[in-house]
Amino acid sequence: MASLGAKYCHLNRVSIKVFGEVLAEFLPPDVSTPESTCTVDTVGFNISGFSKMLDEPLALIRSQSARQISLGATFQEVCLVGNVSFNELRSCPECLADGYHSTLHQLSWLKKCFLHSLPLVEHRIRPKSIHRHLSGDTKLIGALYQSWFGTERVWHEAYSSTWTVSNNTSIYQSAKNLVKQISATESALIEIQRHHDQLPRVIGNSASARVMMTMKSVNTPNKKVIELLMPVNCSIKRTHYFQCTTEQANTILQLDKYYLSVLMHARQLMCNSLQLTPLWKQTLKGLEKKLINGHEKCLRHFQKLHLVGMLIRVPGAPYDLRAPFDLSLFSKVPCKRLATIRCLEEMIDIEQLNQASGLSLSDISFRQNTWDQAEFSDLISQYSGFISRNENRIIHMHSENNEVEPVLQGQPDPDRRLVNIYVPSGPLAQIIDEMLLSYIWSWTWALFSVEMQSNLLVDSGADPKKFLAKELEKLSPIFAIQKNSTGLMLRIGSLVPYRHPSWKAGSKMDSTHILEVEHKTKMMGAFFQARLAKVKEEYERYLPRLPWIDQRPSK
Amino acid sequence: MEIRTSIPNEPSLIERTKISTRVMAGRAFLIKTPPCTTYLKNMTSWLMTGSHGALIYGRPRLGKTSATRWVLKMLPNVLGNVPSLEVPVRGQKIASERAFFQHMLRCARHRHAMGGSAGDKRDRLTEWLVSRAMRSPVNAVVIFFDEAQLLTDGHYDWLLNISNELDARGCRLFCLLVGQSELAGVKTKLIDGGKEQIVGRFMVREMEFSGINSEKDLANCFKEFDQTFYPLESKILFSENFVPKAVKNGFTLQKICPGVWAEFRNKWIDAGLEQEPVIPMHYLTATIIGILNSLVSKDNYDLDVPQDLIQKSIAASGYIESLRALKASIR
Repeated sequence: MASLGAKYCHLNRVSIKVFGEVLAEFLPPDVSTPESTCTVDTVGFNISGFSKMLDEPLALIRSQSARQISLGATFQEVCLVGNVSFNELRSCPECLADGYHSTLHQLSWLKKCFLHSLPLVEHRIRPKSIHRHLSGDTKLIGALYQSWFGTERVWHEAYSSTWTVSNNTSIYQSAKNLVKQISATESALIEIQRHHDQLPRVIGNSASARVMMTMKSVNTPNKKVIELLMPVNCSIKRTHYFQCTTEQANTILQLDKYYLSVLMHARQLMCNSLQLTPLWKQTLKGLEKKLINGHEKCLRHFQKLHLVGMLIRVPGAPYDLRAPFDLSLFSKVPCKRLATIRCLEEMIDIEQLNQASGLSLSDISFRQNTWDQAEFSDLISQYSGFISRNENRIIHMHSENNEVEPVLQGQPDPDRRLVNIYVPSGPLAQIIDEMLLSYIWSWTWALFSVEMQSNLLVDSGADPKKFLAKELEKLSPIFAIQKNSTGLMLRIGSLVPYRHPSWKAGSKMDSTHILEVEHKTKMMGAFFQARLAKVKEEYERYLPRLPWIDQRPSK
Repeated sequence: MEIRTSIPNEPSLIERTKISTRVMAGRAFLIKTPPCTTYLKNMTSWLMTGSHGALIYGRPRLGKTSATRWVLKMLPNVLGNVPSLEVPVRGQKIASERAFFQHMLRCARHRHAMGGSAGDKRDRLTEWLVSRAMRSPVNAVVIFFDEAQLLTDGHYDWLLNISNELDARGCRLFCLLVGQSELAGVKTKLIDGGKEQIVGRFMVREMEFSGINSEKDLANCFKEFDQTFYPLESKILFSENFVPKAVKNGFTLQKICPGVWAEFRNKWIDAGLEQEPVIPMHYLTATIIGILNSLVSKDNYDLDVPQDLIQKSIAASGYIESLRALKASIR
């Protein structure tokens, strides 16, 4: 309807409002339509009258309906995705240039155009409602009008004789394929609900990945549709079965993403404290080793620089001097790998902001009373113990001269910290372990991707930390938990392979790399020394005038 | 002895009047006459050869408008869908762009005929024509201007613009200019005035429309009347509405054709005109309606049509007066 309306307004030289009035004539007088319905689907819409008025075939007007592509309730419940949305104009550049736009483009979880397989573009022009009685699809008229007729160029292209989407049959066929997949998935889900009385739960970041996971787990994947959903293919790992009672299974199925992430964090804490080594922990250790491999010399140089830097960390020192310890500064470390390791250090930090939960240890300790004891009685248990605080400090641990860092103010931090938290146990712990494993792999590949892009990041001045966060979100795995006869089954859809990427080993043979690192270290060292002298001088001069500083740093 | 009430379907006076007026207004049915056949042949060849317009002129009451409507109705059978727009031209003292295009849009029953500027209306019409022409197999749209002699230079210029705009989109505008005999004069006037582009575009093809001018044509015409069902869905022959008994017994209008022709010829000669007689369709139809109406009371299985009845009907049709006017115009 949006496409029809925009063209109507252009061809008849009338305003969008006038079209709204024309359309309202064909609607019943006191109609109220939900946001996501199409005008054609409104009850009581005089479709034949409208087609007569436009002098267009009835089938063409019927094709404006979204009834066919609307997702069933079960589909929406499982994938947590919405129906067609008209809150922003999404379009394929090719289709738009040909004067075509489909309601199918408005499915928010669809990433690519079903005709051209090009990524769909979200437009900046905000759709506006033109008439309070009209349905959501008419909101797009203005935006489409703008993009077609606001700039003459596009519409002139649309007038050209070589249209690529002029073949109605092929458009119809492609659309039909997609619609068929959607309805097949819906009916498969209903079938599952009837047999097992519980639908699978799909957890994951991206909506399209959730849809893909659902389609794959009910065995209705179509190569073409999968391609439209995501640029990366999602592989499903071996299905894991967990034995538990029905009540336990129900409780686990109810857990939302937040609680799962908290449990993942708690599990990390407990494994650290008890020195357990589940598979995910071994993988993590493996990753550490791979990263360090061949870069021992770089670490040593870095440590020297680090010590100089620590000395500048006096009160009042400029922020840029705290390098090279800032993650965002690929440019300020002598070797890229060091920055990557710093990133990993922060990700596996179980005490401060943890990658899995986004919470700190203190947060978890404070919030632990949110657990309903009765409900989770046999799935979580209370744990008390000490964690080692240096676990994540990879660079520090691997440096040859494990010097004690100068303590600037007050007492040095203790090496251990008491934790008193709820941790998953029984089948829940196993599930959490599997989830952690897939997360660790996605972290591995995200780190790899950041290191690969490091030159680009330095050149463009983009924040590597933000880039990493985006990568992590993009690559995060999708889980489908489902009940079966013996308990629960867990399917993991991983967007990355479960193997280490080919990290570029610094290798002892690569002498040029070592030389480069040495050179950089020297340069930076000199720079820091100079700054240190200056800061010291200023510090000496101004210190007596600063009343709140009662203690001088030890030299 | 027969009882009148037993006759089935005897039409009442009101029914007959309704039929008569509808036929006279050209709203009941269109009849294929020999000139129409020539017209359709010409029109087909013009459209096929890529012409952009044609002049059709002739004396008043010949049935030009009806013939054009018939031709436009028949074209789809020959060429496939050829969209057309009938525009009865309004005489204007000063040609106004806005009024002209608004009138055309109203003739097209366009929803937004009234709003917007003259430019908007022009664009609207162009788009309306393009969207229809694009769906036609000949990529053309026909605008039928009735009383085209009223069009002025300005109008022709605008039509030229529209035609060019359609050309740019790969479509063709065919202007069918139908009007009185003075239309032929308009053409010469345009040539004299140096408006050759207009003549070259719309007026290269021309055809003088004539009435019935031989007994054979008249017989053909009567045959068409005889074969027409009216009302269409009732499966009743047209003459059956008036003389059902006679028609059942094989009465046809063709039988009275020689008598009618002779009578028309007499009137022509009486008026002092030379050459072969020409019967405009209007008077012919009026005569037929007159004859049939007079025959209602005489309806019988062996119906005989007296010559004086024919004579009276022709006189009542106004043919004689039209001949006088013709004679005067020739002088």
